[in-house]
Formats: sequence, C-alpha cells, structure tokens
Amino acid sequence: MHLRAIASDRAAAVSAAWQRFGVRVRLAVVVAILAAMAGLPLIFAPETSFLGIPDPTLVLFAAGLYAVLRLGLGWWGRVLLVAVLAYYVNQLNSTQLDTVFLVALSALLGLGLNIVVGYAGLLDLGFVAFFAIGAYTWGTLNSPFFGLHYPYVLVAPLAVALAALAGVLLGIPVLKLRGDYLAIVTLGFGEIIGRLSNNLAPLTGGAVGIYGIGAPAFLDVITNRPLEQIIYLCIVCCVIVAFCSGRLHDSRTGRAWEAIREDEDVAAAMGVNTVYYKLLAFGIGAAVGGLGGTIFAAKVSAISPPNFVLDLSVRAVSIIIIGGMGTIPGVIMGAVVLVGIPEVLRSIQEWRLVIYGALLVAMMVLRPEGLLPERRRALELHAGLTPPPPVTSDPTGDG
Amino acid sequence: MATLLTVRDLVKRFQGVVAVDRVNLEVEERSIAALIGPNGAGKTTLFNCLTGFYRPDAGAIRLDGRLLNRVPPYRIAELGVSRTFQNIRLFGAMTAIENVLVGEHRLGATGPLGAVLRLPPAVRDEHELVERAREMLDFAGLRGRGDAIARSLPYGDQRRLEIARALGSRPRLLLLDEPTAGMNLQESLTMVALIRRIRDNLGTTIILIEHQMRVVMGVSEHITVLDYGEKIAEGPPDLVQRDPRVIEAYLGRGTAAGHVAP
Repeated sequence: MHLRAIASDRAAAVSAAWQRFGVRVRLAVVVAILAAMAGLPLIFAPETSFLGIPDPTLVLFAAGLYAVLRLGLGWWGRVLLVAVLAYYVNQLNSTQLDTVFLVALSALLGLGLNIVVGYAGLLDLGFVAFFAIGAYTWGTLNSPFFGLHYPYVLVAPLAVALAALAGVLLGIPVLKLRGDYLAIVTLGFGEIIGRLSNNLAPLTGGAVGIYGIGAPAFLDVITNRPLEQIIYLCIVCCVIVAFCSGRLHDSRTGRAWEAIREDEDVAAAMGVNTVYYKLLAFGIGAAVGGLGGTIFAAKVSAISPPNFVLDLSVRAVSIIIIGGMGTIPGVIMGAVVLVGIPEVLRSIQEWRLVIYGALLVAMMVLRPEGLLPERRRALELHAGLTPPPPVTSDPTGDG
Repeated sequence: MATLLTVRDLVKRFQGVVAVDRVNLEVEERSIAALIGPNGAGKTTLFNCLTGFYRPDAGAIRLDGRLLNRVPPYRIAELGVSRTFQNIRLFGAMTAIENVLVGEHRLGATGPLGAVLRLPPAVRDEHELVERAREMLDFAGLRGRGDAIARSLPYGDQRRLEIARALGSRPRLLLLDEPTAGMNLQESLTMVALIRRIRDNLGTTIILIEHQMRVVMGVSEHITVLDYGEKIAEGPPDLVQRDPRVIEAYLGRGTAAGHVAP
C-alpha cells in the first residue's frame, strides 16, 4: 500500500515512544481516553470547579482530545471521537455550549484557512471577508430584512459559491505577490469588505446590520435546543472539511500546493500550474470561510459590521500556527487552546488575558512547531539533527 | 538525427547589460551538449530563457519547431523541458519521493475532485505515479532513500534527487546547471555515469552547464562556449579545447598568446 506509506509520513506526529507500543495497546488507550471523555458529564456537575479549574469538564475534555489526537486515530477512532463529542455536547449547559460553539466555529474557519496558509503557504490576512460574505448571504436571505426565508440547504451552497468566487477574485490580483506583500494586500481586502458591510446599506443594513436572522430549521429533528443544533451543524461541517482537506493534502493537488509553498519558481519549472493551484487554494479556503459565516449568522441572529474585523482573520491564522502549520488535528487543537482557554478562563476575570498571553509566549518558545505538527517540521525545529546545507536562494543566479 | 532545440539570435538584457547576446544554438535529439564559459558569461541566463523564467528580448527559441518565447514555465515543463538548478533547489521539507512526485505532476490525471472522492481511477493513478517515482529514485542511485526528508540528504544525494525530480516528468530535454558543482573527483565520475545513463537508457537530450573540464570533455558531444553573453566557439570537445579564443576567455589574453605560440 504505497498510498498508506506516504499518508502515514504525512500524518500528524505520533510520538516515537508510542510508536514502540503495539497497535492494540494504542487502540486500547485511545478507547479508554474516549470513554473517559464521554463519562466526564457523569462525574462533574456542570457548574462545579475542580482543583481551582473553573470549568473542569471542558478542560479535561480538551486534554483528552489532545491526547487522542496526539496518539493518532484511525477512521474508526475519528467516528468514535465525533460520537463522543456529540454525546458530550448534549450534556452541556448553555454557557458551556457557547464556548464549544466558538471553538467549533473557529476550528471550521481554521480548517478552511489552513488550505490557503498551511498547505499552499499563502499568508492570507483577509479571511474575514469571506466569513462576512457567508454571514450576509444567510442574513439577507433568511430574515425580515428582505422578508425572505429561504431554507439553509439552498442558501448555504450559494453562500459557499459566492465566497469561493470572492476568494478567486481576490486571488487574481495577488498572484504575483509573496509573503509580507501578499499579507498586506489581503489585509486590505478584508478591510474593504468591512467598509462595504458598513456602507452598502441596501444590502447589509449598514451600521445597524441585519437582525432577526433565522436558524436552519431542518435540525429540529435532532434536538430542540437551537444552540446545540448549530453546534452539530458546525461539527458536521468540520468533519466534511477535515475529510476533504485531508484527502486533498495526500494527493497530487496537495503536493502541488506544498511545492508552491516550498519554492514557487521551481514548482512552475516542474510543470505545476501555479496560477491554477493558488486560485484553487484561495477559492476552497474562502468557500469554507463563507460556510462558517452562514453558521455564525444563524447562531447570533443579528450581524453588523463590528462582527467582521481584522481580529477574526488574525485569530484564524494564529490557530493554524499554534496548532502546527498544516495539520488537521493541529488546527482543531489550536482552536481549542486559542479560543477555548480564554472562554474557560473568563471566570478568573482580571488575570485572564495575562495567563492567556503568558501561555502563548511559553508555547512559541517551547514548541515553535505548534501543538500537533507534522513530524518532519518538529524534526526541523528541534534537535538540529541535520543542519541544512548552506543553500542560497537567488532565483536566477548566473554563473 | 533531428534537431530538438533551436535557438536563433537570442538576446536577453538587464538594464543595459546584455547577458545573452545574439546566441545561436542547435541541439540534436539524444545528444549531450555542454555550455561552458567563465562566470557571468550568461549560461544560466540562457537556461532561464529556455525554461521560461526569463522572457527573451529578441530572438527565437524553438523546441521541435514550437516557439517557446512567451510560453509560461509550467507549460514549457509540460512540453518536455525540465531542469536542475546551480544552487540546489529541492522542496526541502518534502520527502525525496514526494519531490519526484512533484516532478511527475504533468503525468498525473487526478484533479482536486478526484482526490477528494478517491475513486479507483484516482487510486490507480496515484499508485502508478508512486511506482514511477520509485523507479526514478532507483535509477538516480537513491534506492531506499525515498522517505528521507530532502533537506536531510547528503549533498551528493541532493544533486541526484534534483535530477530524479527533473526526470520525473519524462522530459525530452533536460537542462543540468552545474551537476557536479562542489563534488570531488569520485562523485563527479558517478555523476558523469548517471548523465550518460539518462541519455542512453531514457533517450533524453541533455544540455549541461559545467565548470569541471574533466566532466565536460568526458561526457559531452558538442560544446558551446559563451563569454560576455556571446557565443565565441562551438564544436566537438577536442576542437573547442584548442580554440585560442576559448583559452583566452578562460585564462586571459597574455596567457593565451603564450599558450598558443610557445
């Protein structure tokens, strides 16, 4: 199975110590952790604090999540994890659901942007633009604003398509830009959409925004708690996006992106149509951003320009970096740590941001490769096993 | 033998500096040609023109009659021109076999949708590519190195991997930019053997830029000498070696005079 051999190398890091244990032992440990995660709501009442930790089940669940992602999950493990997660969400109170929603939505956005930033190496700081497009699409098409109430299953694909189109349109002018310059221009694009949402009042409601936005109705069959429904929707979207981006990564397309990330000129010299693959990455990433936007609008039911600011783009990029550039488990864990921790720490109030900031600094010093990096990247940043040869990168050096 | 590559009166200027000055070049199919000349003679600039990295200011580049002047680099690669780089430019964080797989990009047929669905044709396509990549690694003398991170390979292996990657696309024309730079005699000889095998076994036409005269004279059938962007000599190795203008370009006027008329 050549495919597997390659995929295993590309998968997230499984620590060497664990590799030595047999598959059965690892399987048993993963199942045990998952079972413990499922049992958390039975052990702790929702509002208790444990050893000074404000919301112990969320923290312990996150720790369990990290452990199983670190150990590596087969497809069965992933199915089990999602089942445990769904069961767990079902037990939470509404404050906790708010936290989980933010984490799930951030994970979805992170997964989308990861295709652009992590895979293709295009630093896109205007991601909020596509999020806004998705949010306003659902907002205008299912609210009293126009008096339209189209079903989610129709609007979501439209929002995704519009966002993807915007992603490609943004991609065209920045094709020749790299690194910092690309970041600055995409940043500008994010700002433009922000201004548009303020000034394009006939479509966006201007500074007042749009309110009374409906929630997708088709989820009533599962549970009657609206927030829980939205979270399930978000998790399903995460699963789909994670599945697709995982398969894209381990393919000819993923290799083309990686080649562009490594050295765009050489990628072109090897026959990779860099224009196509860059636009593809922008388009797919933006599409996921748009999807996230529809979910956001459906959850908050009122959107206005202050919802769509630079902060969101920066957070999405941070999630990818903290998680471990380019890996799917990393993005999920990045969302948990970066979005979940501040929410859980909310009860500590004034020390919240101090602890949060200290955690981030410590993280980048001690684990610059991120929480769940690709193994090769971890090797690169640690130990200095193999110092890279002194290679200059003059693209056209004459001799 | 048919002519594969024809270069007519090629000119490339950089803000007044004429890096390539009305160069003419013809390369026969299945031949090994060398491009030599002192530093700054325009050899790599010529390569960059051939691969679409630079757009020539004048003249014509034809591959099998097809004009390449304004064709983008990836299309030129698809048309069958592949290259290596003077300063090794591997995809450092990717494994050796992944590097070759990127080289094979044009042979693959699976698009993004096919990759997501992973239907039998996509799986078969991927298997074939991986199989070919392994063969190419073996061919280049990198058997068993497929899963090594490119950056972590020893220098000589990196050079070989760059060639394996370039061969991944099954090119008709392979451009090697100083394939033996930084190598000792033993390594250079291994490289020469590899270059020969590429031509003999794969039928690839090769143009190489080279400074080590032992390599140039040993492997190439036709040599073109550039100096200050101009072609100053060409022909079979033994003739070029004795050409006074070549000696002058390499060693300076006084030495050349002394050498020619002792």
